[in-house]
Amino acid sequence: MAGGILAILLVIVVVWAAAVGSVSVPFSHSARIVLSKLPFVNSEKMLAEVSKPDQLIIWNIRLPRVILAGLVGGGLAAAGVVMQALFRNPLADPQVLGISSGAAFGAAVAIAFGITFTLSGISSIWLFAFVGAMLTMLLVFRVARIATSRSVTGILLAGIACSSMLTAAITLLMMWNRQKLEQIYLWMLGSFSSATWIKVGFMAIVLVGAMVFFILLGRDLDLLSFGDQEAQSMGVSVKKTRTVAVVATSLLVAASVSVSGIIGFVSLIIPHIMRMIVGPKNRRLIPLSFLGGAIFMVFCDMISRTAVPPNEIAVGAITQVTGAPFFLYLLWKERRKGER
Amino acid sequence: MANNLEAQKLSYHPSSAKSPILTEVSYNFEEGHMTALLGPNGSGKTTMLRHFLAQIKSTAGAALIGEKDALTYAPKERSRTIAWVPQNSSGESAFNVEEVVLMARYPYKSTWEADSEEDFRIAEEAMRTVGVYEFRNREFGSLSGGERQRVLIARALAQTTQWVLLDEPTSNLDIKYQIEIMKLMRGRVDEGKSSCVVVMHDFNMVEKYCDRVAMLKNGQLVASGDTREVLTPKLLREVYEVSFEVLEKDGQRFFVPRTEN
Repeated sequence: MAGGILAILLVIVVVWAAAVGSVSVPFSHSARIVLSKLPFVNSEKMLAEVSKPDQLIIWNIRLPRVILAGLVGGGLAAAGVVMQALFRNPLADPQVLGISSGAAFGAAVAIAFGITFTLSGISSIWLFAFVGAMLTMLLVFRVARIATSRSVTGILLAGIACSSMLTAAITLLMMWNRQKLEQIYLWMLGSFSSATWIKVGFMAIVLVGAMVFFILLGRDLDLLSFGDQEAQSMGVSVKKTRTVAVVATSLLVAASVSVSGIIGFVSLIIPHIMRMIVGPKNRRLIPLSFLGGAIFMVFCDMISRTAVPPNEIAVGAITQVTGAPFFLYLLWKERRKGER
Repeated sequence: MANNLEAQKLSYHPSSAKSPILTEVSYNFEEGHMTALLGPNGSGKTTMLRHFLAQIKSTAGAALIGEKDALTYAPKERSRTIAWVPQNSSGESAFNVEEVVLMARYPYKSTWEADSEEDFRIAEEAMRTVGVYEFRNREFGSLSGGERQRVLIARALAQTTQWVLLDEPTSNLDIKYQIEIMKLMRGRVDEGKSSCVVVMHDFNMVEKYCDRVAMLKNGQLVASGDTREVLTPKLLREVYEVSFEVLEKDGQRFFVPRTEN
């Protein structure tokens, strides 16, 4: 039920977001362009009334951006659900794994040293960001395993430590390359302005892979809400579940951050809102959070493009402006709960 | 199938601990009995149970379920044999009571299998048995300590295992539910449905409901056998350093601690 409504809402928001912008295209034309790409649809007949420039703007420029925003928003939200389940902490967020900082460091290196090339649609900044995220992930896992056998706290601490280390390194890079400061800073704030269909394809593949594992592990994650020992006493292979879930989450976050920069709070607030609506069962919560996150991000990206034309507001700033007050509200509610 | 839980020279000495937590404990929890695992705080009772749940690995010796080492069982297979009622649940769970109890059906499910009508029936019966059916729709996290403990017992029952290990199952319960839970488990043992190990500190409950006793002190087994023979003021004074007076009424013994010096 909720899933159906959200799916319809997502389609409407996507079409709407593709229609608005510096060149305004009627909603119906935007819808026709999207429909024309579906299989078994006569595209010529569908596009008869739509002008060529409009087709170009929507299909080549806006749709990749809108869809990438949807995939990243949905992916981050789903990753947030899994993180909250794994760490049994409503405030856990993929950023604590340090992966986002790793991606940012990779991107900062590429920008600061002027390594800018594009290889068959893959830009160097994107590549560096992804590699940075993956290397950080390996480092965090490595340290976490050495540091302690209680992997949860270990990963958390290792992630936070790596994260602040890398943030410091990024600051140094910015100080030494003041002329690049703005570019690095803007990358970190997050944006979908560099979206291409190649990025969409890459993101989609990683996302589908991760989602399969998430939903596969849904029931195990439910039981893990009672802690490792109780979950294990009911038959969960705790170690295997944790490893698979953390690796899948990390890959998903690495992919997301590398194509869009650091976009905060989606992974935190969307799971909370969705949990209030559909309850805590992960097999339901994960796909629905994906839909919720996708809608939210497409909407935020639309605001970022259209609020103050011709300039763009970083989408990360918009999600934070909406997310931070909600975060405070959660803390306030938690405190109230404690007082009772 | 003879499925005793047997500790064979079980020793546990993690590198982080100064002294060993368990030292060569050998004891056979026999099926068809309700055994009380006794001992002062920190004597190794919970640690001993945790070996059978494969939550920890012994330094030496083994914990056997039937003929096999507990560690060699696949998690789901072990969970179809042993259920565990932890002392305190760590769940700050947003799941409601019914969902929590249904979780116990996990070891009987393949990855994509949904809960069947049979599962719901088992969960309902378990909830009714311990009197939590009335609040099956309440969030687990919102329950009081005693209510939670009963839900955990219902969950263990819904796991439909031969063995139920209860770690201070009555510590948060009022006297009415203490008696009900002990009666319930005793009844299940008498009917041949379950075998139990109970960790607890109330000797009058042990005397009334447990037919076997195993006593640990400083990680060593100091006494074991039939409750009537083993549970004596002399042993209790040795182990707990408290003197007890025994009163007898209608064939049952009552242990009253002497509080004066």
